Amino acid sequence: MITINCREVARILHSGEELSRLMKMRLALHVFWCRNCSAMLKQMKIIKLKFRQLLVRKADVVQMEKVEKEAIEKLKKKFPE
Amino acid sequence: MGKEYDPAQFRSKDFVERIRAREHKAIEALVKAYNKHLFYAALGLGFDANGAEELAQNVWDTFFEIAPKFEGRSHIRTFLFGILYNKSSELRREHKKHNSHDSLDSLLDKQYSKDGNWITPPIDPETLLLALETRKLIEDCLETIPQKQKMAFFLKEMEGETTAGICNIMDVTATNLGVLLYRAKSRLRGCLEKKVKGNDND
Repeated sequence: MITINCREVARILHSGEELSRLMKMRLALHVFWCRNCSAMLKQMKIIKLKFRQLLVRKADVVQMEKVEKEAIEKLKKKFPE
Repeated sequence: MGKEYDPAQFRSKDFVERIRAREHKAIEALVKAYNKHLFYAALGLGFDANGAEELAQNVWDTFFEIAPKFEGRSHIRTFLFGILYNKSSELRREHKKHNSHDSLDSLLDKQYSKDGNWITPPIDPETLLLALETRKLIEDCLETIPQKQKMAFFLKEMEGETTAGICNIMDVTATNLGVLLYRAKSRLRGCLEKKVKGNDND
């Protein structure tokens, strides 16, 4: 049950395979005990959080609203009902 | 903007028919629901604010043109991201395959020893977090990732898109997607760690 190694964890996670409940448990157990994989997972969570914050910071709400408005106007003009 | 829509309603046959007929109310609901996501995707791919605006506008223009051809086999969101992916590649002229021939195993060999352990263990997450609080490292490191890997990473990690959905959008196999995601994460982590360690040594 706990013989899975770090390389195998990465391989399984990126294999695109549908994971069984047992496999998910094995992966979770490994990450719980393995300092390196646990650190990697925490790193990824931090990266995702910061990436999301970056997108929100860069996105201009006014500009997004402008695109929405213009897109709808174009639709109505080009393809009237 | 602001108003939230339930993505489940976009799956219904009735809604697909309304989209195919280019019914304004239905399409307006779509624009309001997904314009923000398209904008974020464009920014995530490295476009600046003006580039993101152009790309999002381009996606909607194309969508209005081809809406009658939408058959509803995939979710409308997947369809829109597919258009965005193709348009962004056109704009960037970067529709090349980035080392997609590398197998996952060969990539793993670079990171793990023969007995399956880390060759260079990850740095302490707290150190990374602290560095990211004070420096704009993410933005710099995202620049180093090829478009295709960035798109896969964005769809999976930011949009929570399914493997099947991403494969559909990007026209790749599940195996290939695994390689793209692995490369994106490794590059991003590698770049950040390098910058953080470099800073520590200063």
